[in-house]
Amino acid sequence: MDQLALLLSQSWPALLDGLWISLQLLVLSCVLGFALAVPLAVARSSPQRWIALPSRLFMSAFRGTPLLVQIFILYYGLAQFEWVRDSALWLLVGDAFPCALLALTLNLAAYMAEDIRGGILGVPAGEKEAATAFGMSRLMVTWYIVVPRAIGISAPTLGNEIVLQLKSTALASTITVLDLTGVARRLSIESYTTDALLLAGLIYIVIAAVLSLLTRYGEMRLNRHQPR
Amino acid sequence: MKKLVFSALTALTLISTASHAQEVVRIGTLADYAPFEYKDASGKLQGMEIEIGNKMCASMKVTCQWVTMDFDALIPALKARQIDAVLAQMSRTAEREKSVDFSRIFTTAPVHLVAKKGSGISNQPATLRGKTVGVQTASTHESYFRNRLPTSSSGINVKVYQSLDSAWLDLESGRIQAVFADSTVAHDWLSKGGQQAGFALAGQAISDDAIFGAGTAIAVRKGDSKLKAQFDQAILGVHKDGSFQAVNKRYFPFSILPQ
Repeated sequence: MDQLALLLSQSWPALLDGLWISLQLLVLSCVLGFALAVPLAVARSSPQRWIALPSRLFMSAFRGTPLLVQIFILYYGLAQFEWVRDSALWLLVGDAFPCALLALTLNLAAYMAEDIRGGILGVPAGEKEAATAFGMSRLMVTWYIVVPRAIGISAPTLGNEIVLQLKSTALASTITVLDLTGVARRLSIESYTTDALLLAGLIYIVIAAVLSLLTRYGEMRLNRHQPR
Repeated sequence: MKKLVFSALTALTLISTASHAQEVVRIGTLADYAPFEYKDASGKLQGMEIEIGNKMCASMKVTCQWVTMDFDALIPALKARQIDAVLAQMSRTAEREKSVDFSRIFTTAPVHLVAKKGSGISNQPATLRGKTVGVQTASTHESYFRNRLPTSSSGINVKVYQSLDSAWLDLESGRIQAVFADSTVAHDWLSKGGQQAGFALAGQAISDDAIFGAGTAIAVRKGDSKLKAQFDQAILGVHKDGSFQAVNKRYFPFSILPQ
């Protein structure tokens, strides 16, 4: 324990830098991923095949492959093509951080879309009928009734995805991003011990605990009109 | 009951010592450091150090078990007794000698920068200002830049890779402008396509004995003088009887036999 305290007192600036990168990856990928997940879920639930199919393909591609593989393909795979290096895409995958963010976002979007789709299926038919009876158009029913209700229904699973995403951000360290895991690895290399990794583990636990508190609060707010 | 368990344990120990007449030495190495140690397409461990290592194990009359891991995991694994020795082109440096013991020098390890031909990059630090150099994590190359040319004063960015293979990929894609590595592995990469893609050794070898040490050696746990002595003997053996030189010649057009 003394060793951990000593390590913390010596290297907290580096760990803080790493933590900052990890949190940036987490928050940005969650916001962007969620924004992408809603239209994906709506498209996926569409009765029209040509709308549902692309979304379905996207989701099975990203849910069917390991995140690590996706990160490697985006970072090392795409970099081998000269036309990628000469295109605007290089702005996204040319550097390690945006590349990791892209992979994390797309991956999370696929999982969240699946959760929200489940929520959409769970919206009671009566609520949709009531909205239609009020004279709302299909688009309005989807946007004002189905989507908010679906998000409320899937809130517990969405919250869980956020906690899982925290741990996924550690994979960014495999493509030279110095996030919390990356920094901890560097520190443990210098000292030839695993103390720094242990310390990073403790920090992850604290963040995960805060995240689950926040998501539980969010859940309650989303569903506050529901009788319990 | 206790007695019964005890005698059962004794019997087991006896059986296991009987079937393992030879001592087992677990040697930690890398899976991606061609041509010294790498896994071929079928997953078999190959390379110059594997070949000579097996020879030395035979002369030491021990059974060697190769264990592959990342470079940065080798010393922690050695200290945690997951392996007994490290043979992975590890330079014998004063910094590492604080945590492990080393055998006598096994190979020399000159170091070079690799960059695109005509990029103007040489072994002069000024030619790297504003550029990014890739190095392998926990390597002497990384500590060279960290200690001698820190970014704040030199203007050289350093990108640290888990494996050198990834650094080569990024050099080819242009994310980094140079790779700093052992001349041996650099030569291997250049001859396997790097040269064709327009890359070459940049300038002369860089020398800094305080950081790069006198060469690479086999690391053992601190205080494991028995195994250290065995390896010293075995290294002297392969250096003297010409088997080191014979294998060396098949891998490199230059000698890495220590003087």
